[in-house]
Amino acid sequence: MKREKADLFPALLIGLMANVFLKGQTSYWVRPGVVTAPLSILLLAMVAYAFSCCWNTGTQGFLRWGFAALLAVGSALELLRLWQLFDCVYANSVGLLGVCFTVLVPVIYLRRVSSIAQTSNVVFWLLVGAAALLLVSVLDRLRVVNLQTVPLAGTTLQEALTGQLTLYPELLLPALWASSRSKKIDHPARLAVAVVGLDLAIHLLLELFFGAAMPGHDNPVHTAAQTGALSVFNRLEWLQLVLWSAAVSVKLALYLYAAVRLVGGRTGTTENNAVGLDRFPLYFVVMLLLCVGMRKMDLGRTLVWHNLACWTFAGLVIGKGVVEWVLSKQRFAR
Amino acid sequence: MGPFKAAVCSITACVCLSLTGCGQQQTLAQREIVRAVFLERQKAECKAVLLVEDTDLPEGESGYKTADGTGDTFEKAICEAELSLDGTPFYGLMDLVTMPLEADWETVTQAGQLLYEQAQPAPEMTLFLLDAKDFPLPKSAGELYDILCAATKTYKLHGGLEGLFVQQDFCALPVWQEEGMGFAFLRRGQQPVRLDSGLEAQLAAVLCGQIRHLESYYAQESAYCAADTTVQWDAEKENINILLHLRKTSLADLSGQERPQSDLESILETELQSAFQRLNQTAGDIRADPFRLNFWKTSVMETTVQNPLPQLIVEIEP
Repeated sequence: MKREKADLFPALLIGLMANVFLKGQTSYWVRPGVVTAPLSILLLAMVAYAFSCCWNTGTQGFLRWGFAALLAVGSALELLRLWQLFDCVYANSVGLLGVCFTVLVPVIYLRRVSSIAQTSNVVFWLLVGAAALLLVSVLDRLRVVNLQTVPLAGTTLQEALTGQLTLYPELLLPALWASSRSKKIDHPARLAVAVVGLDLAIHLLLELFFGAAMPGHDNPVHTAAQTGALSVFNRLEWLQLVLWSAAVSVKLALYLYAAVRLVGGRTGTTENNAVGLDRFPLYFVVMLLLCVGMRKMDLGRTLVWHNLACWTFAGLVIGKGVVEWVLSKQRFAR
Repeated sequence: MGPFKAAVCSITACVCLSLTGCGQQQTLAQREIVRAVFLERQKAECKAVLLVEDTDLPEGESGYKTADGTGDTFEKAICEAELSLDGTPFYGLMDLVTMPLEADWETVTQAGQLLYEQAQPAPEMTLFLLDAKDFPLPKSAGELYDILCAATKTYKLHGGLEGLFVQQDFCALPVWQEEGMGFAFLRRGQQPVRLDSGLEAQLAAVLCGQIRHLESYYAQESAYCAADTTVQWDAEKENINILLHLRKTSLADLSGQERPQSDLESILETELQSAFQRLNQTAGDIRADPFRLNFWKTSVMETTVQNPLPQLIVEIEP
């Protein structure tokens, strides 16, 4: 019963927030970003909506397994990104295994979809609070003159579009549980506005902070957080790290829930358990092995490939849905 | 879960554990906490002095020890200094970096980049150009650290490593020498311009957003001023006004003539105006934009205005 009422929208928002906060590098200047934002929102919302409509018609096994594989690789990339951040900030103090334990152990509790929904509400507001605290703590270092007056030329606009058009799996996930037509439109549209708006806001904050040096920084949000100081706290990066870890846990739990729905298993669609406890060690080991296998890869490039894979996958599903719709129309016409 | 599956999982977990490098971490107690890095150049040789917290002292006492290294680059010098430490250096609590007084833009930004990439410190730190003649290193490193930290508090200095890179080919840094605080403009491909005079240097630092407190002699050292500062920019279509507010101002007459407060204020304003004219002239000479006029020019002003001349408006409040 709880599952029918559980709202996973905050969990999806947290996943998107984690993507934006943990970005390894910024990708565009704010001025062209503002210009391209409406187009990016429209494109992302349209693709997510089309995917949501076509998913019901395209439920073949290979597509389900393909989506689950995208989610598994996405989870491993999230773990590796967090590990790289920890390693960068506290060199040689936290290993990959430590990060895996920190993030994956809470997923044991978050196996239940109602737990994901409840926890994501709390983590969402904590993240909003931490973001506000970060903003307040760096407020005196933000300078409006740091904004770059780059020309609105083809190159800068293209950079902004490429940066904003990242198709995160969170934009595709509502297709798995959207029950009504209104939800199929509403969730993708709200998520697209949220991800582009948040990305733009973070870029604005970072440009006000770093000025011309913004593109060269690794882990720029964290670097800004390190500099933030309030009278109560000398440095606040620990708070950001704790919350980002919590956000990644929620995100991974959501991916796990979605993956179990995709590939099936003992848990059906009416049970509250997303994954049985007996399967959890298998999940843990798969994640660990994926992380170990991918740890030497260039993370930035792998994320680009993952994004391309998401676009290709969405294109496949939408293409398949369109073909099926055309064929059904022809059959109906005969 | 059956025993077979459990065994397989345990073995896999052990293999992963060994592959992920568990157990290679170092405890915090084994690290050397670096509080400051002093970089200096002696002829063709670079020298780095690391000021490290002395953790061997009894509880409640604090002190420093130093490690120094030399090399043909700052990177090698820092590496050599690190090697002479007992443990792994930890730069997360570093809050001061000094660079050689004669350093140009290229040297300063390369050293800044090195600190970001190699040492990965917390970027909240104060940077100074330092005249090493006055402070022989590493002997006076601890004393110098205390002096510079005190100066940071006095002048409400607000620099940071990221401040080196906010403009693509220009940066400005405070200078510390025996006479007190100065300021320097560093432009890519040009000789650095150092401002040694107290009021002019501090006005430049205020307008660059690096300090928020003025403390200087003026009127040929016959008067003394101390004030908190705030700067407001008011850009219109044809001109830019810079409003400099001096708050909690304390003016002292050192000439013994008992000049009235209004006279001291008027002299201070005149000196600030002439210092501002000189600063604009200096910036124009090196084709730099220390006060970021280009931003206002592009964003607010009419395109027909080619070289806007800013006006300084000084407001003095007791």
